[in-house]
Amino acid sequence: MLKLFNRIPQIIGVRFGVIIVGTLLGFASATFALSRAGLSDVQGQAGWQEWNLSAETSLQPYSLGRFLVDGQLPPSNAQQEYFRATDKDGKTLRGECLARLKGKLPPARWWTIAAVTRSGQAVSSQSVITAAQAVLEGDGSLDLSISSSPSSGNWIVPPDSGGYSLVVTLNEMTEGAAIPLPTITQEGC
Amino acid sequence: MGIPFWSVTGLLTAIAAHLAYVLIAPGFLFSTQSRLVAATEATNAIDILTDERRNQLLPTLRGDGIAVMCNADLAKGNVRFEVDLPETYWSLAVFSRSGKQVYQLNDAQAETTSVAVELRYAKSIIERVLGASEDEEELIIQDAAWTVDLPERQAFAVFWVPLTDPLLREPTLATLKKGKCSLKQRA
Repeated sequence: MLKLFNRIPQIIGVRFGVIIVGTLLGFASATFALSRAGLSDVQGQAGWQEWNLSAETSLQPYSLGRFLVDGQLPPSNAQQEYFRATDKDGKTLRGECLARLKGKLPPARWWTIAAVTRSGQAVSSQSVITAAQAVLEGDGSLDLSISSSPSSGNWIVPPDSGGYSLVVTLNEMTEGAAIPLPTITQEGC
Repeated sequence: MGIPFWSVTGLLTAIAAHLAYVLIAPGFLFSTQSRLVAATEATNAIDILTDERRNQLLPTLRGDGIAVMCNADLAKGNVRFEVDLPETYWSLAVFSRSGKQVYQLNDAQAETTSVAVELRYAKSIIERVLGASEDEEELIIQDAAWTVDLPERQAFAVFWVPLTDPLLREPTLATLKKGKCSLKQRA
């Protein structure tokens, strides 16, 4: 009986320890998952990713949560965002390089392309180009330069030297339209 | 009770904590942080978001444009949000306080530039049984082409008007400022 009484602190300590460790692991895994679990690759478009915000997917709580924990509203259902942090060769997009985005965009009522930081923020208005500002090629494709030095034609400024992402946001995309997303090359790094 | 038991207990605890955080924390954190970002002097008032606040609260609305928000508190009744809009592309999205979108509308769907939206709290079945009759409720919704039922008593309604030309900013702003977000008093 005395031995059992003496073991009570040890027993209580083990139980609390297991619960505390389990709780901390749960919170840590949730924090990690909220930042990543809602991401998926765009089918047929190597390198491009999108957030799974559809109510039909089990990953929606993670995709929504990623915005909400930062006090941000998620994209509306009328918006579709595609983003990538690498060029067509898989190299990280970097602010000190000259990047070029070339190709057609899916048909939509309105679109923007932005060079954003890892946290998704465009640092200035010069980092964003809209459908109204862009001059398209004769075949309807877009040729866009992303560099810290001025460039002729369509041009946006990346965040400071370092890694960044390009985000294509489409508003009211035509339903059922194919999703050809542009290619991205880098040079002069 | 050996190691296997406590291992399973720890694992189940981790899973419960994980699910609780994913399902509850985002909505709670958003409610807390959005209250600071929205920073309107009062609810049920129209708010033209500055670019900085737009970037904080609505980071996917990028580029030159104007966001008009109604921070609706439905505790005392329906809220009417009416805005005159330009004849260009615009969109309306209504979010609950926990960040879930419950409604959307655009210029092509509305087919009008004068938009009035009635936001109301969707009562539970019990509240409907014990509360006012549906007829009384319907009398309150007047002249609103669109009615949005919300699962929570607080909501954000946001009109987004991207600008096709920087010169259109001032006249568009002048028009949008005439909009209203107000509580509909019960008769």
